[in-house]
Amino acid sequence: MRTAEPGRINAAFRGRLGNFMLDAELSLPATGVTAIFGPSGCGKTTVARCIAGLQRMADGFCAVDGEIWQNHHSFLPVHRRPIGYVFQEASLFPHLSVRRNLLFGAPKAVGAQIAFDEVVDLLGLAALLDRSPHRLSGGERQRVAIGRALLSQPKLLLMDEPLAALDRATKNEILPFLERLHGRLSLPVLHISHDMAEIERFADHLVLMEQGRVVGSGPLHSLRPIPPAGNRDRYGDCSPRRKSVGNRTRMTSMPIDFHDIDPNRVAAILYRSQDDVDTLLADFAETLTRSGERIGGVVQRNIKDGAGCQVGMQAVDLMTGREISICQPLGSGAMACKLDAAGLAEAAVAVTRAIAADVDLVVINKFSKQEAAGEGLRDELADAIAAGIPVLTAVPEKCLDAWNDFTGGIGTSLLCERSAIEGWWQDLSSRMKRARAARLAADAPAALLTDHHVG
Amino acid sequence: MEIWSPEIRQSVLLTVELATISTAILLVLATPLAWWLAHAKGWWTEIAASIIALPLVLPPTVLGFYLLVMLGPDGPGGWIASFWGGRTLAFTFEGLVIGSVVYSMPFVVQPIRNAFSATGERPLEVAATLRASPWRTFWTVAVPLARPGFLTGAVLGFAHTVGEFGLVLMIGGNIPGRTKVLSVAIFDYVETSRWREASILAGFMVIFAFAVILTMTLVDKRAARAAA
Repeated sequence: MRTAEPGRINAAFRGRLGNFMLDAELSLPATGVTAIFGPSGCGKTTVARCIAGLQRMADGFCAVDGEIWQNHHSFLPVHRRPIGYVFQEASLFPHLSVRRNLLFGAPKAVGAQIAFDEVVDLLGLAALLDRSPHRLSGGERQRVAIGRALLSQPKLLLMDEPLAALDRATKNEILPFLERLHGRLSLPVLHISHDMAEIERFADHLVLMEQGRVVGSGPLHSLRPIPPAGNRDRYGDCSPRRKSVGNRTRMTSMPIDFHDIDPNRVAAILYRSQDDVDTLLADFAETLTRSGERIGGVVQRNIKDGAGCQVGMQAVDLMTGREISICQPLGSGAMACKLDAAGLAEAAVAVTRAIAADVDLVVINKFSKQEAAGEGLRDELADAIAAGIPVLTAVPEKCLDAWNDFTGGIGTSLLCERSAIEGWWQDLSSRMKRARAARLAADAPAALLTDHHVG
Repeated sequence: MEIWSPEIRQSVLLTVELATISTAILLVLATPLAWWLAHAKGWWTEIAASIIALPLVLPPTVLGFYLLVMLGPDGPGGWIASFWGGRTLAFTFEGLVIGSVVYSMPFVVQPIRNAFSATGERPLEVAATLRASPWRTFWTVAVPLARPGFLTGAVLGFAHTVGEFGLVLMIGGNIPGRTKVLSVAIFDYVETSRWREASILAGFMVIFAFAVILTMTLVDKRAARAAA
């Protein structure tokens, strides 16, 4: 793959960074939007930085549209590469106004392909031009950063998780701009993300990365993401033995701060191995769906053979009702059964979709071994909680410590009984309805007025 | 008897001249040095930083002694002076400038280095991805963002040059019109019991120091407002 081809981006980087080993080879079309997807720490940002020339791997090759940027004996410095780079944090120059930020990389010569007015219009920046970056919101800053990158007339736009540092409302504010951008420009874009929902909205091509390697590449929808492997032994089997170790191992993933979340909105059903929590949750979710509640997420149903022995399991996306996948039966009577990689990815999408739809309750069937070890649906659980949506999940008793570490001790523990779950939900949903009614009442006079006008 | 006697005026002007020239040279030398210290990685950077910081802890007389040897006819100073037919740099205005630069270097390098470090790599990376050469990045991004550091460095460098005494006495002596700066003059007046002149000069120093700091602060505030 170490050859320069016109119309393609060819790159290969190999080397060690600290104790991280990167060995990535890419060959992508130099058109449309290509998403590089993978869990945090898989090396996707490093690949983008290598392509930009911000990071130099001794053993590297990079050619874009037939032009060699790096090989064994040459390395084009960053400022000679026709790229636009949007960083995770907007990184505007604080000493320059928005207008001068935008024009920083714009060539002096006229007749540029991407015109100033067009970018200002596309990203809705007209009202911000004379402001200082200090006086912009997070979303506005990121829009200016995107505009600034575009105005440098790049031949390749690299976007390194441009939305990851933004909250959900701001993300939703920027996403339409990004979609418009990708629709209007003929510029090839490399979009780095760990958010499948984001990628599904505009990527044409997908590259999957894991632990410094490219594990798949192809048109979107021909690929399924593979969940992260590794650090499988953090909480291991959540065994209580680890509690006796004075200095408990910390999660590798970032500690999440849920302190401003209403603790009543997070509930964990504590169950023991003999409890059939899957069926309990699935039945409860089904009841709610039937009565017209807006809920989303994933539950599991066990598949049993004629003799009542579990032979497999099926996950269901609560919003679409779709059966996600059936995990491979482990043989008659096997109780442990995990979602396979593809199923897990679909479950993740199901939860993300529910969060995006702002449902009234997200059900995630389990926080167990995998989630405790920073895998599985852990990130999606965190997203749902952080979004302030009520979350119901089930936690095996042996994983209670890991759960408390994860949530920072917030949330309600429920007994593994239908009545306990229903009690929690009725209490919470009636309070939510009251709050909503109060909000509506506050808006009511305005609504009445408009009604009169119409009448 | 006038306050502004020729003798006093001479030492004031000499001091301002010395401090201005030294500060200018300090900024020119300290900027690349601070840049290098802020960006280079390796054990030798800290060794270099320690050498630059030596005047902070060395007694001025010790520093002055070594400088006197170096500037004298048998040291490199004598060799340099021979270019314009001189015999030595000791007890000359040029020698004082060299001494002041060495003495005040840490006070200028440190704030600028800190300001460069505080800026971090990201703005420089951003500039590079926007096609700015390293030279342009330095002047349009790194320097403006490190402005408070430059200001602090310049004020400290200037003030330290104005106020140094031990070092000046060691390498400059007390030659009116050539090396007799304010601080030495005040010492002289006190020695000879001319309290009136001493208090005029001392008062001038206090007012001057206050004015410098106030002006710099106001200039910085205005610049910050203009940028915002």
